[in-house]
Amino acid sequence: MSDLRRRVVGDRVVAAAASVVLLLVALAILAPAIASERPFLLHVPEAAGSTGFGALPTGWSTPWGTGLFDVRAFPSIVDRAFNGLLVLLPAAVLGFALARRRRPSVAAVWVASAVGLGLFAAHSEPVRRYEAKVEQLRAKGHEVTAVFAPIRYSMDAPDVLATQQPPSAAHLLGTDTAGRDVLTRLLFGVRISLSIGLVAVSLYVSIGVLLGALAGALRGRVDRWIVRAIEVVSCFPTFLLVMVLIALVRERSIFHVMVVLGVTGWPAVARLVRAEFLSQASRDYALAARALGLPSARVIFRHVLPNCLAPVLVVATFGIAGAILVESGLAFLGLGDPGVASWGQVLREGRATRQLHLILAPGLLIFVTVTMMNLLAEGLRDALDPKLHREVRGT
Amino acid sequence: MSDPPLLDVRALATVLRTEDGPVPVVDGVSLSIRRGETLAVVGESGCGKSMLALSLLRLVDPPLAIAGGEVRLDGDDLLALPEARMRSVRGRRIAMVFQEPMTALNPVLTVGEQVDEVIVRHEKASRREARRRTVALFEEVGIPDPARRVDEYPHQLSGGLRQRVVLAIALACGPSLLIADEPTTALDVTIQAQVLDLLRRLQAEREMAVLLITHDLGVVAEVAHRVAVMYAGRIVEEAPVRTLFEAPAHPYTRALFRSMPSVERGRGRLEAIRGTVPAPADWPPGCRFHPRCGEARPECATDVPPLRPWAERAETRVACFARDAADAEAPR
Ligand SMILES: Nc1ncnc2c1ncn2[C@@H]1O[C@H](COP(=O)(O)OP(=O)(O)OP(=O)(O)O)[C@@H](O)[C@H]1O
Ligand SMILES: [Mg+2]
Repeated sequence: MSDLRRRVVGDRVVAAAASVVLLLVALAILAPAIASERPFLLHVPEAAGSTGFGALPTGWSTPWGTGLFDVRAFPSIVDRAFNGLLVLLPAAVLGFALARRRRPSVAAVWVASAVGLGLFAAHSEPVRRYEAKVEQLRAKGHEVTAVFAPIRYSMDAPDVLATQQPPSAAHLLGTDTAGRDVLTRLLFGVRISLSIGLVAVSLYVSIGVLLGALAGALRGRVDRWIVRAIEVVSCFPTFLLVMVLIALVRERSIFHVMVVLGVTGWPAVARLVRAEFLSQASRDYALAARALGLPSARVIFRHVLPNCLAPVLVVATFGIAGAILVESGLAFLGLGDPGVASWGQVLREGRATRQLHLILAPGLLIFVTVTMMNLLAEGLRDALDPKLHREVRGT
Repeated sequence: MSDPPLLDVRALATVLRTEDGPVPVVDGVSLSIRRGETLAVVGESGCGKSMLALSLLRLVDPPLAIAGGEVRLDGDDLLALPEARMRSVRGRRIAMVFQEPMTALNPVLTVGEQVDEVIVRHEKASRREARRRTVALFEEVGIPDPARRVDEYPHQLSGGLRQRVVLAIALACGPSLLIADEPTTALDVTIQAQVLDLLRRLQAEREMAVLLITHDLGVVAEVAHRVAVMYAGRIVEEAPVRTLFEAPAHPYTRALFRSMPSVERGRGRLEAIRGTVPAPADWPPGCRFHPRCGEARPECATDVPPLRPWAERAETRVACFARDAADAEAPR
């Protein structure tokens, strides 16, 4: 594996692509820490307290932390799941640090309880305009302490008084027709794109690997049926299917897109795994495993299958790029999930309102993300190929 | 010869099923091996040696199939065992070592895992117990620094070490029969000698029977007790190793010796065997060697010579009408 890493990193272009992808992953996880209207830390003196609707709580509070799992602040489960990662990662790092010193089970309990606490802490409170209210109190002469994120807007908190603003110091990319900060929406759009790619591709890779391995291992009638299914399903026009399904359902959700992509995408993987399986199963090590009296299931799943997965990694990386494109396309056509911030949606608005920066910014993001994913996939393919050949020659 | 042989094979036949009917690949092979004995099977490439070995383990896949015969190991008829019981014979009572140590090991598992697995499977040992025994086995087959080597992957080891790992896997459950299919062909000469030494030592220590498949008569001379010469799916001659080297009986065996460089003959010309080994589908009727044989008689083209004791050397059995005729003429 270190050999593989050296090869991937060895190529500058691929290394750059890999770092861009890593950066996107980091942005996706850190999004609410970069852009949030809720201050990390807030102190409102008793004297400034009022009981009106939406008033700020008095005393010390941490609105950002308590709002991470708030269904009103983050209506989409995708966002709450990423927020879970945001909480989980430091806990995991801590857990592993502890595991090095103590028994791993201690660390597991630690991590699990951190996750549990985070999820149960979910509650619901009205969306406020924290920044405006803090400004009001300060204008009245109160001593208010508030620590904000770099961008003081949330993904889904519209400012009805500031719609369709051009780019400015406050809104670097302006606001949309509902008065939401476009930069913030693009930032949270990274989450949507990555999760579409990951979930859809994991789904079809699982299906494809399972069916491909079954076909390659069992041969005969099972193989013939699976090959037939591969041929039929790979003829499905995926994009059209997604559009029809989305048009049929009452509440549009990106999960529909994920499922349709997942259910139609597996033939390429299955075909690949099957072919790889047939060639690997005739290798000596597979025969040797059988000659040792190991049960067939063990020979298939522990010995042969892991040797078939390297090319799947490449297909999956290409697949993520493809899924991102499909989702952006759907959102651009107005068939996206209205509850999430998607790049395609921003692009659609830019086209409708004829604002160049609203077309260029999401367009560039989609272009860069898809290109980098594809470059990474090609790098992986090149890195894996000579390795495979070398193993055959046995050097 | 009082105690029954460990392995007794009778008229074993393996065929390749084609649209034009079955083509024999292993054709009526009979042989037996006693405990602690090494039987070498020699023959040119494509004569069915590997198929014979795989047939003994019942590991032939379609389009190949075992068509008949009997394989008895310690009295158990292996061809009649249910598959589940056959699986507990493989790896435990009969182990197999393959030709290429590079490809016989799984590239994605550490060598230690590959040995542990067999011990856990057959002996119901715990993982820790299995690992302890794996390290001991590595020590036994002469792998230096075994505690560290168990965690390495096959590509991190040299060819010689890999073949030692393969041997360790085969020996893990103390098999009574070891089948070694050209275990040293892929190694260079010095490593080859080391591995053969090791094989001989382990066999003596463990009183294991060995079926050694090779086309290298030098290897045969070094480790075998008895030799079976195979040609086109059949055994044409069987003899103790010394007898075979002193007095080869079958014309094919003689041709084999003439085609082999030897120290005594010095710079004498090597003789290639006339013609080429035919593919199974083109095997001729009668004695399969007759088109290439200098001593062929009319009946050789039509009848199959049976394997019979040779008058000149009672311990040799040979399948040749020319030898039979000479025996009949010879004065008693
Ligand atoms: N899967 C298969 N399909 C068709 N024919 C096969 C198959 N496997 C083996 N054969 C045929 O069976 C014959 C015997 O093959 P086998 O591998 O036993 O030869 P061998 O004596 O071991 O040769 P080598 O010394 O090259 O290893 C060969 O002629 C080969 O063509
Ligand atoms: Mg062979």
